Amino acid sequence: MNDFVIEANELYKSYKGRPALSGFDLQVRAGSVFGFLGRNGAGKTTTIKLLMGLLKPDSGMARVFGSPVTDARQSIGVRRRIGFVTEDKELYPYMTVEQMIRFTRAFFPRWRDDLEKRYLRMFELPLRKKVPALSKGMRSKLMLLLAMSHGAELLILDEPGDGIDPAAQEDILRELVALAASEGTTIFFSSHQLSEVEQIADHICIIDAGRAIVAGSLDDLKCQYQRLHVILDRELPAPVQWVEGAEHVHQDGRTISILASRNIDNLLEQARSLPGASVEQFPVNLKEIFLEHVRTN
Amino acid sequence: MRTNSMLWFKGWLETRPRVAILSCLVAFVLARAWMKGTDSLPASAPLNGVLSIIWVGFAVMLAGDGIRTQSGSISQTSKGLVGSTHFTLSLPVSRFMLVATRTAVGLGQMLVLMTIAFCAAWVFVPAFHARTTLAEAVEYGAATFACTLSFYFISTIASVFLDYTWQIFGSLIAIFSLRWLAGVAPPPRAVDFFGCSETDRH
Amino acid sequence: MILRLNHASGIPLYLQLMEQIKHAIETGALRPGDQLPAIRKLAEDLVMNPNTVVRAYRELEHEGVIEVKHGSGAFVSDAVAGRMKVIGKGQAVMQSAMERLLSFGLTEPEIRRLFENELASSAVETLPRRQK
Repeated sequence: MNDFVIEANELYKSYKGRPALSGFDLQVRAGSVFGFLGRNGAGKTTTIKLLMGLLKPDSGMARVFGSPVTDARQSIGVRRRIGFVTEDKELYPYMTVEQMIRFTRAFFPRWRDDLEKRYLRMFELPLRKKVPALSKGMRSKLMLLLAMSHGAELLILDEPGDGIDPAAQEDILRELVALAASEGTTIFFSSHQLSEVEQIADHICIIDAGRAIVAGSLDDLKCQYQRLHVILDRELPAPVQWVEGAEHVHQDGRTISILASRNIDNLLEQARSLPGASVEQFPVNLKEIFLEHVRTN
Repeated sequence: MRTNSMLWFKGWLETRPRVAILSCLVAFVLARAWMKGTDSLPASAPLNGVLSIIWVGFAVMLAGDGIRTQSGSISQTSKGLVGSTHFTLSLPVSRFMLVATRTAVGLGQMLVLMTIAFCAAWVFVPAFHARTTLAEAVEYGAATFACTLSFYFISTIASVFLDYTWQIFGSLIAIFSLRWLAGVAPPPRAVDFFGCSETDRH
Repeated sequence: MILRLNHASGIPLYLQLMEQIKHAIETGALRPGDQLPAIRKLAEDLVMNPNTVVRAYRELEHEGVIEVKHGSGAFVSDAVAGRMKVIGKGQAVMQSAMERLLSFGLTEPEIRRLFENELASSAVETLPRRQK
């Protein structure tokens, strides 16, 4: 239990009667790269704001580094250990890039000058430009620089790739991976881009309608989920009643396609027992898992 | 502490434009009074009357909006917070420090501006200079500052409940309502705000 | 070491990494006794999760393909040489089979499909299959 950098239990939060979180649970282990996925309005940003103490939950518990997010006294120490990128990437409109860095640096005694210089060069941020003159992508990069340069043990990133081109994204992913590898930094990030989550995350959570509907190790999920293609030599009079584990079955004449979440061996056995069946098994990627869960919900 | 000096730095950058506007306004009013410069009463009265509006303006424009950043539950904005306040609140610094520094910045600016305005008035406006002793002028200045301080805090409290533009209107409405009340039912001399920021006391 | 991973294929990345390393060994790009890249470096070079690299190395060590020497790094196991002999025999069988199939006039995609179907219906496969 003490291994968890982030913990949430039965979180509830509503805005003006509209529920945003309806019993949300979360567990993020130290040192993991955790991808947080969900459709727009599913509750991702609300969860992140709650974890950062920007919002108070209606009920339920959330803890970061072991201390409750509602504990004001401990929260300053906790925030010193977190690098945060907000959803809207808004910084002070009256400051330049240089001033933002100088300002932020003062709050974090473990600031890494070497990382700051590295990211400045990599992101090609114009030091003397004022924040409103920066593009969305530039602002994202600046916020990432501020979050990643201060020696944080935990990064909480809300859509960090927002507005950033693929080449720069690859750079950012590489730097995040480097932080995870060399400093053991825990990285918790929400994203719409399944590809970047699939590339670097070891655990994921999919949130829909304010609840966690899938959570776990990405590798385990990929082993668990399989697609089965069954080709029969004749059409069957009635649809097959599949054993449990067959989540999504599509039958088209003599071809049946099944998305299975577990019990693969029994499903394979059942498929092979059908008359004249030839059965093939395929892996399932994150996009299919995501769409499967988000659609049926 | 470095964090404190950075918060002052931020406060200063935030309010720079407002200070500039107010300085120009004061300079304009004083210049006009100086040009009209006779020592007849009518000249000094408009000066005081207009200046009282300016003091109110100071209070309202410079007032701390630091409290608003922690609204969330009080403010009516549905998601709680706007713009860069998310970033500010994610910093490892207490809400108290944020508010206190911001309020102090506004107060400091107000003090400086008012002192300069009064000194300039003393030097450049003959009516003021001629009709008041130094001691009385200082007392008058201090009293005006005290009154403006109260307007400042009215405005700051308004920022807790209201968004930025509404804060300005809200506080102006509050202040002028008080003034109207003072006219209708004059308070005792000790708390006669508007008496003391009104025309000269001869 | 040149490795290519397909992030969207659905095959767990640690398995892909393991197969790529085994492939490198089988083709001679890596030889018994050669040192594998450090976990941190490999993760950064491939832009992948370091825990995934750790898992791949651990499984390879478990299978006896590599040896992890505490402090100095991961090395291709000498025991691999034995496996290479078996693979060499398989290669000989493959070569003659290919010649025969090609002499029937079969195209490359047809041969590939024949081979995959045969694999699928033969002994139980423990790893998730590669997508066609």
